[in-house]
Amino acid sequence: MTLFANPMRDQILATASALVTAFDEMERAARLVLSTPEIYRTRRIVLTGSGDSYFAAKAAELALLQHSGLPVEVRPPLEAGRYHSQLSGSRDLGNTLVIALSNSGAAARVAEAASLYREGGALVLGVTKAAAGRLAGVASKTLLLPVPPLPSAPGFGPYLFAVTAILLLGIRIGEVRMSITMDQAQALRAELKRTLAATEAANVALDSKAAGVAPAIVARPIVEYLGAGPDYAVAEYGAAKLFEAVGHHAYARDLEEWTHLNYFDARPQDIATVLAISPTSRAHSRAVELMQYFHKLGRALVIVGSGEAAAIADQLGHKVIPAGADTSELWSPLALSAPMALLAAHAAAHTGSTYGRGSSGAWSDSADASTVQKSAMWEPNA
Amino acid sequence: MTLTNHKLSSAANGAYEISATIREAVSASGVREGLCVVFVPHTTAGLSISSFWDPKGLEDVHDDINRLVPTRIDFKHQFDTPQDAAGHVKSVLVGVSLTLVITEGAPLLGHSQGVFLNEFDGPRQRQFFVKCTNG
Repeated sequence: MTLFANPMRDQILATASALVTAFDEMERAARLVLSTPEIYRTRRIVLTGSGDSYFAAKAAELALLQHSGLPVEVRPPLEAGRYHSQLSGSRDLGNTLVIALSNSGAAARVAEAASLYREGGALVLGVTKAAAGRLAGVASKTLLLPVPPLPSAPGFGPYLFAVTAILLLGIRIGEVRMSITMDQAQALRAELKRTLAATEAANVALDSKAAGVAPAIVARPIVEYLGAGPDYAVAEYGAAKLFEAVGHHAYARDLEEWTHLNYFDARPQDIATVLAISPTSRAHSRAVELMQYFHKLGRALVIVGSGEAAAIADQLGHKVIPAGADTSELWSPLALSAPMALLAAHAAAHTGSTYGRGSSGAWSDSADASTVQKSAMWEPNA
Repeated sequence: MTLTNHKLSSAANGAYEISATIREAVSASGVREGLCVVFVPHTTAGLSISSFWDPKGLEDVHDDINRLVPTRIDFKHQFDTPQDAAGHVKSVLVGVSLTLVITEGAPLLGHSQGVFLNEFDGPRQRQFFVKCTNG
């Protein structure tokens, strides 16, 4: 158990109530930021962002697809800006809504992608907390995230604010396009707020569980995070947090791809496997099938989720952080991301790690986020 | 004097007959001679009297209301949806209340007349009120 200061944990536990407090303001902003003609001209939505913003986009992608009734793609900004914005036809770009995410508003590649798409004729909605930031300066429109000051640590609050903003945009777009009714949209908004409120108490309950499990995962040299659908975004986010908080070698893999690739790792005893799985996941039956392989290979297995897979893992003597039992699959990142982040927070506390290596020594270039913010803008014909 | 509240779930835009409910409300009120006010507390629905004999005639009514006020994307009201914005205009044109004469304990209606709740933004959960007074 963690017995000393843990700012990352504090940030995670403070986020749900901050979101509930800001929810009505966010809902109104998401409702009004796009005009009806702008929504009706949209034939495709591109989500782009880096780091936590990318994971937030992935986490909300499928709910956005379902509610908006529009095709949705998620791309990292380097690929989005320098390739897709340049290679897509002008008619296609004219009907594209780009949602570019950067909490700080200063990520160079995100601003670059936003600029390149806008120059190509796309409507670019910047989602950021920085009203006067770089992203807001190049976007066609800006949806401001009312992220309050939170304890300084690898990000959880900004990530969940971004996920919520995209979910609200999806509900709004679907409502206006009449792919869902106004009553359904209102019910979804109310359910979203209830879900966020419920995570506040749930996260407190999960905190000690995560503290108990964290030492076991960093006891192995490699930690792999697995998931499918929205839970894969949770896995990617979980791996990122372990990197940031501890610097421990971690990666994420789609559940099915794991059987093609990582299953064959010759040193399974060196690997801890963290599986994000919601009880209603379309991939749950596959997760159940894979339990025997994880166990036989001797992976240190941790289930973040609930349902049959968690029950089997528990019976086999593996660790379970029970979460997401009452959350629909497409919103599972709202429930499963916090325990993932708590694992990293407690792993950092357990190992005495300095977040982001303290931006010192070999990592000194990352001070003030210069590695991602100070970068030359690419110009197509330069 | 009585006031009764009645619920209605609309499945889609269109006319929903509420004549039987109004007759029951008038009968239950005990008013033999007087007035009956029917009211919908909504801004995207209305009340009208039309012929109930041919459902296609009711579709004609809604088709022409839609021709008068098509759902389009350039309404100034954008807080809700284009259908909602169009519904506000239709509701104003059709009206949200009706006054019926009560005689011999029943609403006075012609032999072809039915009372309809006009839904302009369905599917929605709707309600209407019936108030009966002696006089």
